[in-house]
Amino acid sequence: MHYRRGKGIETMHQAAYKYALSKGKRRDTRDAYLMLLPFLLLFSFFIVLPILSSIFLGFTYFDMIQMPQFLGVKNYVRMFLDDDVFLKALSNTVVFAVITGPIGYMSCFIFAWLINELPPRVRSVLTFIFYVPTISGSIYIMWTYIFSGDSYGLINGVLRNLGLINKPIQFLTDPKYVLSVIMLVQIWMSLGTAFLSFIAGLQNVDKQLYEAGAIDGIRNRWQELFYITLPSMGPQLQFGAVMQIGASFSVSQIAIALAGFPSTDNAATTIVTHIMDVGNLRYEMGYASAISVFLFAIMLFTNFLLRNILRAVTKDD
Amino acid sequence: MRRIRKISAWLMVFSICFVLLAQARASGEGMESFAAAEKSGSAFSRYTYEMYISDNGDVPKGAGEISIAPDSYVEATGPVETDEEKGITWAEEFTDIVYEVTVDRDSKYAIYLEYNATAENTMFAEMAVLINDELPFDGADKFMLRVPWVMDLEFRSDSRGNHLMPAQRADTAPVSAPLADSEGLYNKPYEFVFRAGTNRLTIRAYSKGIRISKITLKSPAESIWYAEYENAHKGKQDKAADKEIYIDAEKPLRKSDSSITPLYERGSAATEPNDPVKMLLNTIGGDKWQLPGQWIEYSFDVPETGYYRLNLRCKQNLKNGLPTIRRMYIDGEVPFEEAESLAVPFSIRWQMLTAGGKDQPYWFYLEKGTHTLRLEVATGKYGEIARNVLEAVYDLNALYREIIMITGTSPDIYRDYDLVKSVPGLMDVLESSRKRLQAELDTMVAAGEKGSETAVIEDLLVQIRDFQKKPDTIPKALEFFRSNISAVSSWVLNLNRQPLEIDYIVFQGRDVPDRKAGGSFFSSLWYQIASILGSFVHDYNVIGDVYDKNDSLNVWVFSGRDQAQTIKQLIDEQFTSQYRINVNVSLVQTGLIEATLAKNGPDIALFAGSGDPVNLASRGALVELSQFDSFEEVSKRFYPSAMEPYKYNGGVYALPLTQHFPMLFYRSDIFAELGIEPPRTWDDLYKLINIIQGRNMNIGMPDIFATLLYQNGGRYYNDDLSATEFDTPAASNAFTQWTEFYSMYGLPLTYDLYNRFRTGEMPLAIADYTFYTQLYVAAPEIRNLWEMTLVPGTVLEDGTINNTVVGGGGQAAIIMHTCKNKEAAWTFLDWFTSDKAQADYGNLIEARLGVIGRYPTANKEAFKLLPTSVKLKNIIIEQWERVEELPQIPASYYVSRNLTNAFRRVQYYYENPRHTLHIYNRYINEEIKRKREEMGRYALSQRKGD
Repeated sequence: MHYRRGKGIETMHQAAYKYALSKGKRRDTRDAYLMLLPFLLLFSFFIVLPILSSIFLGFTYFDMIQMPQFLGVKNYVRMFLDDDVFLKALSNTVVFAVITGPIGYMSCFIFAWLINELPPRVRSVLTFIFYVPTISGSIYIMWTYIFSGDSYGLINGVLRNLGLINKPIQFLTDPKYVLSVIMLVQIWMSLGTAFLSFIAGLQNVDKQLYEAGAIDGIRNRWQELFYITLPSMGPQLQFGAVMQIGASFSVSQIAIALAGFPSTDNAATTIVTHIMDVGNLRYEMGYASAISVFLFAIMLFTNFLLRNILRAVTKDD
Repeated sequence: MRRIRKISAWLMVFSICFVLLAQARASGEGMESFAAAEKSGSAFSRYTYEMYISDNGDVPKGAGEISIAPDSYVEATGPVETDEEKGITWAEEFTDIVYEVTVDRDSKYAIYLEYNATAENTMFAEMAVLINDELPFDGADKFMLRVPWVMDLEFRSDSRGNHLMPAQRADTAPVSAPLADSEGLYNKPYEFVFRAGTNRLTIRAYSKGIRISKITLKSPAESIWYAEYENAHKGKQDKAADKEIYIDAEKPLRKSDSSITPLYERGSAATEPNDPVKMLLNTIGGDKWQLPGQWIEYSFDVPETGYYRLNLRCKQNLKNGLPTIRRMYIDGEVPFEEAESLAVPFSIRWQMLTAGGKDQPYWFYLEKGTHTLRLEVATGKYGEIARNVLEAVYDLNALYREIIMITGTSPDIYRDYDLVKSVPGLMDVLESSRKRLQAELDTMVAAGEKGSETAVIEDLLVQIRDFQKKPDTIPKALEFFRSNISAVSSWVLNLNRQPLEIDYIVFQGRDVPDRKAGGSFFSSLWYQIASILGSFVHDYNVIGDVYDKNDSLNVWVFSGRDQAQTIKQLIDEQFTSQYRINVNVSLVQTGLIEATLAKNGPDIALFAGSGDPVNLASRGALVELSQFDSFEEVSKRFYPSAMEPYKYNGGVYALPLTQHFPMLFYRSDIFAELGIEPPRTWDDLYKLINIIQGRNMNIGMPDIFATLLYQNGGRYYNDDLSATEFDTPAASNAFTQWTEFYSMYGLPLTYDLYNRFRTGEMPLAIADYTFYTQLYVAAPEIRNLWEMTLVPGTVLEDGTINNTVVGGGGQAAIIMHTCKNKEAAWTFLDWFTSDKAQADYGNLIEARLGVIGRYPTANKEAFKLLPTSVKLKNIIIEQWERVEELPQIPASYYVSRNLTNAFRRVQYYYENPRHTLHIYNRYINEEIKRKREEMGRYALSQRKGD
């Protein structure tokens, strides 16, 4: 920050004001924009543009072979009034998000908090171990073996050995079980980027605050957690919330890999798998776009809600 | 609090470590197959070659050679022809040809046959040998005579510099081979015992297509050790000290199997020849060269007589933990005993293997002139290890079967079975197996091999020891016992697979320095960079020459590279030369619709899934085919059922390329044991269920609803395809019958057919007819023990049996509406679906991929020209004539989906089948109605032939 030593000592505010108008600032601003440019281009092209075209297509009938035909709001009407599968998908997705989102989020935090106590080497190893399911991409497929409906599948085999069941349980095709199985696997996979950011955030809390707190009368760990740790981790908590809970609305890969596509009786259909089904299998890309716009709206809304809650918790201005 | 937190954190650490260690200890192969190898023929009588030899240990080796003229047979069960050179050929499969062999005293001889192929596409012949009308030992019925193949050694390139796979054919020159074990368990040729006097020697030919020109009985030569060889050639003249003989491995003189083809290797800068961007054929082998008995032979010129050592640039990165073995022959003879098993250890990099090791390599003494070098897959000392482990596995399996006869497969854990008393010999078998397994384990450990490879055996040993200490825990641990045994026998069967990829072979004189296997750091770096940059410029999806897109046909192949290359090869050889139309072939996986939308799509798509044509046609994306002149003729090539899924609105939109349908498979040995016949009707099947399940076995029943429906006289849709006909009695009955298989009769819902059929746990199953190729290739130990027949039928009022089955879909060829030259496109489809093109394609692709690549063509005549055995062809055609196919409508996916949902609802919620079908039928018809409205209102009208 430059301020000229001129006629007397200027206040920081005056200096800042002058800087804001100066050539230097404009040059810095221009450089900043230039550095952002590649990302902005890619972002507009691959994210903003598809979103806009989705919104547009949501109002049409488009089978990907012929040009789109305008339909008005018919797709949205159909979505809410005429599509049982969509409503089931919506309920499944909400159940998913409500259960795996916060649980995943909290477990990220708890694990990060526990690991924080350990010496750095051990901490790195453990971080790696917990993060591995997310990096490895498709390792959750092993759960298909564990939950296999073959009488020699892992869980079925063990239960039969113990004499608890006679016929193997079809975990992945029986509507009674499949949603719970997928939620379990999702939670298992939930130690993702939020986890990493929490670990970083915990490390960066200023140690002096703990000392000050100890002096000021903080009696136990819980108080420390609520009065010092959490408020200092505002940005990480928000980031984690967006990543974790936002992502839980778009569960689809795991559902497809485990329960099949489509799942029995749509027991494990989520909004995203429904979109994929409608768009790719049924050639109704217009309707699929309408659903995806709706999903987008839900996620925006949730994001907004979460930030406000977190603002309150962390008292972040 | 801090302490508690610390403790809990460390607890977490320890529990993770514990879990990881427990995982490592757990059965290494547990996740894979549950195959138990029944080494021999019938499950209950076994007489291995080892037993045969030890029973006849006192019989001396035969003296001299006995030559038998092939035309001197005394009996033959089928027509046998003799040609001028006294060789014989036979016209039918399963022909027995009997000779008489007279010897003065009891002797052992190996049998050498000289044979050659009679047709250009013969790949091998299967034989059995009987002595005095009996199979001397198990395994004498599984000889495989491999017919060598030769290929063009000049590799041609396409217009972009990529090598094209060379043409190949069977070598009609005779080759001599002894009858030996084809599974890698015995390293020397079999020796047969002939008693003093006259013996009958029967050669039972299972297949035809070869000609035998000589039969010789002689004892295999005694082999010498390298020390003796070295002595024998000591001090000889050495003019070769600075000479190097270079042999390009991808250009063999001949090879034992057509499927051993050159490979494209683009990963290493030191491969010769190489190019970072173009695809060059520069290595050979890999996983196509791994079965015992497969060999590759090279011809080379020795410039000067002298001592040479052998170096091989090779890669063994497929068999972790154990080395890969090769046997080498120079001029048809193994020079010394050590050359029987040259071992290549595992490494992810290319290595330079020196025969004998770098410190003390073997020196081969080669005279000036032309010689041949043959490298053959062998198992070395692992053959014996495998044999012994298999013995133990066999005994343990028999023990397991005896145990489950008493306890069942899910024993009651609260009951005391007292197995020591009720299973005779329990402890003895456990002890003898343990000793055997321990001995083999020790052998391997002593040789330095430990780790994941031996873990399976260790696990089984641990379990056996536990059983010996506490026999009453056996019932509880039965499941794990079984999977441990399976894991070990799987291990053995995989033991004899020895993949190896080689780049070049050099014989080097004493003064020539060793070559390095890998390139220098900088050359590798440059190579990788060039490779990446090149991938932006070079299109790897287009196969072969590329022509101007606008004036040639663009064909997309939705399959693998082998398939696309073979199609391109056929096009170059047959289509373009005849019709003068250029064709671009591209290899794709998905994206047909997107590309067509972007006007970047192809003219023709090959191997599209059977559900796609109607979906595309109803939206105006395809060209209707019945408008073309030769359509009538072309459609006669297929069974009428094959065209059914491709009809829409009165037009036909695709031509079938492949067709699948189910057939009944059963284990003839187990059926013989149980004294039952394969079921011809469903009633027969119900009677069998009791018997089979009573022995703790089961039956494999896939989705058979459509077949049951059609056999009951019902069908999926009504005449104008506007609604389903599931509300009829026929549909209700079929659906109920189908669900009752599982809910009432306890047939399994999910099962691994391949493994269970192999172990005999599932001796009867309905599966797609192509399952037989999998059995053929991957279940050699039950080769002659299974049969295929028609799917059970329904008895009609007049007493006849309706054996209709509903096909399982297939793949098709379509013409996209964006195609500019539709006549040319039709000409292409006409050509590709013709009898000759389909048969050639099938034969070529099988030659490339092996039996597993057998092509399930939809063309009736072409099927007859494929190398399937006559017996199987007949039964397959019999079923094929009774195949119906389901019509496809735009809402078809919804029909199958709801049928599955209805089925599962009945299974999991125990609901009434009739009622459930009725409910889901309503959903189906609603969707059909919606789709028809959608198609009517929004889709453009069909364009017929613009």
